Amino acid sequence: MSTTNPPSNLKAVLGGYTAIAGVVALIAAVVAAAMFVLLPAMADTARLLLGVALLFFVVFVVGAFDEVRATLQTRQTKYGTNSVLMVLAFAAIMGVVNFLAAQYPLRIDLTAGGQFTLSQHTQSVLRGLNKPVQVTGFFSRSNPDAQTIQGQVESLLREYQNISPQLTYRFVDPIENPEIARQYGIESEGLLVFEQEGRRQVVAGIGEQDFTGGILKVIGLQRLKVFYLTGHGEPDLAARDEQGYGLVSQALDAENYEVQQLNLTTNPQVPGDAALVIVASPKDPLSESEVRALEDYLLRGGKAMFLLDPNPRPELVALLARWGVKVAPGQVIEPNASVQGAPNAVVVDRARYVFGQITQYLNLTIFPGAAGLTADVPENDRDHVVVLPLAGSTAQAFAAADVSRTSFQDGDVRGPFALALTVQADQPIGRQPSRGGQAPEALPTRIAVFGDADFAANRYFYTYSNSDLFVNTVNWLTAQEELISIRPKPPEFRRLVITGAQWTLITVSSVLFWPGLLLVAAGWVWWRRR
Amino acid sequence: MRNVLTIARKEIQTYFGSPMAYVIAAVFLAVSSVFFISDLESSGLARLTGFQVWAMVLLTGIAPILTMRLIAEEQKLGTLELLMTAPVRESEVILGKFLGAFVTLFALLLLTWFYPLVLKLGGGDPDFGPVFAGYLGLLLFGAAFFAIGLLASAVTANQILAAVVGLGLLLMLWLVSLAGGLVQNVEWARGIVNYVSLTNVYGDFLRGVVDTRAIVFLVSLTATVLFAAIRAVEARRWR
Repeated sequence: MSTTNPPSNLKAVLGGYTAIAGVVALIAAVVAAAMFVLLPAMADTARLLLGVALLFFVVFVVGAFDEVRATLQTRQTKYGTNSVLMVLAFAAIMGVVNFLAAQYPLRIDLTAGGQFTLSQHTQSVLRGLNKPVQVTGFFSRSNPDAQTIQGQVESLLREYQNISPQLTYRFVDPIENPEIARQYGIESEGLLVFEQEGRRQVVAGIGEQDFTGGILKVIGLQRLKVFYLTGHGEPDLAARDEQGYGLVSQALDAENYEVQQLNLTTNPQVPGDAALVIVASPKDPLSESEVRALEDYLLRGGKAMFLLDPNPRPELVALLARWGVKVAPGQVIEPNASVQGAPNAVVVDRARYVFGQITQYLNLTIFPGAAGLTADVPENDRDHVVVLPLAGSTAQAFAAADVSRTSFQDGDVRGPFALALTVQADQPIGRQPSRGGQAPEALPTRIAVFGDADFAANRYFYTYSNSDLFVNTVNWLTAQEELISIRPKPPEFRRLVITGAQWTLITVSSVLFWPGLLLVAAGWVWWRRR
Repeated sequence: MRNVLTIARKEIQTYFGSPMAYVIAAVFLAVSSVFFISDLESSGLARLTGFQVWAMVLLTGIAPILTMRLIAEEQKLGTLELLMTAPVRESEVILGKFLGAFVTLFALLLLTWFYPLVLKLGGGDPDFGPVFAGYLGLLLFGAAFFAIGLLASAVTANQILAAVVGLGLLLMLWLVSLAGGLVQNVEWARGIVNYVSLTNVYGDFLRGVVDTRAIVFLVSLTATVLFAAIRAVEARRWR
């Protein structure tokens, strides 16, 4: 057997340009790889450098061609082809194995918060996508916080894409590309736009609920109509002052609802395409025909949200009584669960939420000045009128006309009360339902009553979980319940909050510990070998 | 099987017996610390990402260097023929050397567990999900890279050439990732490219997501490359 030939020739060549080319190729390639991975902004330069590296590699191969060829030809041709074929066959088998693995993929999310585990609802929405959805995220490259958030967004979108390749995404820096931002009407960063076939939906949140909601809205062909009763001194949807409902309007718009004013005096009938009617604390009386219009709407399975204030209009109280809701006179006083110094500003904490579906992920809510609500449904009607509290008061609460007191007096109404509740019904109290024995979710009429209208006013809308309670209730009323059921998994940003001493410990020990020990070990091994 | 372990042990002894290896490891860890710390500083988050991202790049460079001598040196010294005349199968030689190199890699990565531990001790609270997943990714990728380096060492008799060829092969793998961005619009290519794209695959591990497809891909890649290396050494026997 002859020994291998390359070494002696290559030794001669090594002194020449070919070896230099090889070394340059090596260095350039490693630098290019490092750049590509660590400095994404310089990706183009990295690609260029990689091209240069390949060029030098080719030069190296050409220069050492004879040696390379001889080296490669140390394979006996007789067995060489055979070997290659065997390897190809093995590779083909591996290909099949991979193909099979791809048919039954298993994706395990090891993150502590399970951020990359998508809910069943999201998965079914994604599997049902039959047309492409593009997502454009606006994050500035120069802002490290924005980049961290972009990383989370991209990670979540990857999971979405893993289920449906119809979803594609890209990131645009609004500072570098202001014209694209303008095109989408984006004025601040940190927003995403979901689009399909020209329809667009802006999404401000970065959680699964926001993304799936965005997808649902953008693939929907029609916006649900919400009618807002006006003409009786209700809060102004366009107003941006403290008592206004401008933020309500905005939030409904962001949830892809089309909000329209409802004037029942000119035409006492709720439009047939109304998905929801909102009555918010009317100060002036409602006429008989207006009340009848609302009642008719509820009778034909309508959905309505009533936001009251202490001592609301008697015609509303009467209407609500027919649907099983009793309103106590006066304001709710909470000696122990209210804002300091304002015992009528009721705070509801997590322990006092009841209707799990709407409230299960809420934190505190605050009701600054509320009427107390209770369920009042006669025995016989309980099979077709179901009242469930949303947020409740403590047992010590009571309703009083005078809010300066914090102790119960005769004439006050004892609690506990609901500060918000829901009614699911098929026909009001006293009437027979059209069908018997239905589950509450199947009952056509849905009503939500809040004892306080201010909790949704601009001043309080984004306090605590007020907006979430409002929006979740709207979504429940209009039967967009799957959205509410997605458990929010806020991205985990584990901030490093440590003292200077701890930082020093981490940095110094990282740099010195192992390297130091290893150098000592190197010395020891070297000494042993001598 | 015993032969495999014997050969592996011999390789491990060679690795650990060289002062150079410790110096390289010291440098690797010192540089890794810099990346680890700099990411902590710039992101303000308790995570290992800085180190783990850099480690992938480093592996690409280290794998050819650490594996170049495995077969090529034996061939140059003439000890390969000695090995071949012994009642040892080529597959045992390859697997033994691979195991030896892999154990060394494992030891090196084990040392870096210092980072998450010191982070925790220092008051941070890293999410260990991505830490584990990232290490799993590094191990799997390391195995694949080392296998490629071993293959390169098996097809040439010269160590330097082996290193260059090994690096070249690894860079071709990386090229696929780079090309990934260009091919996004081409339907049929996109799926395949994304499947094998190293940045894609590693990205999942970094986030804490373990996908069985990635594991199957990397293990099957390692297996195929080792198979090729065995065939290459076998062909030598018949020279």
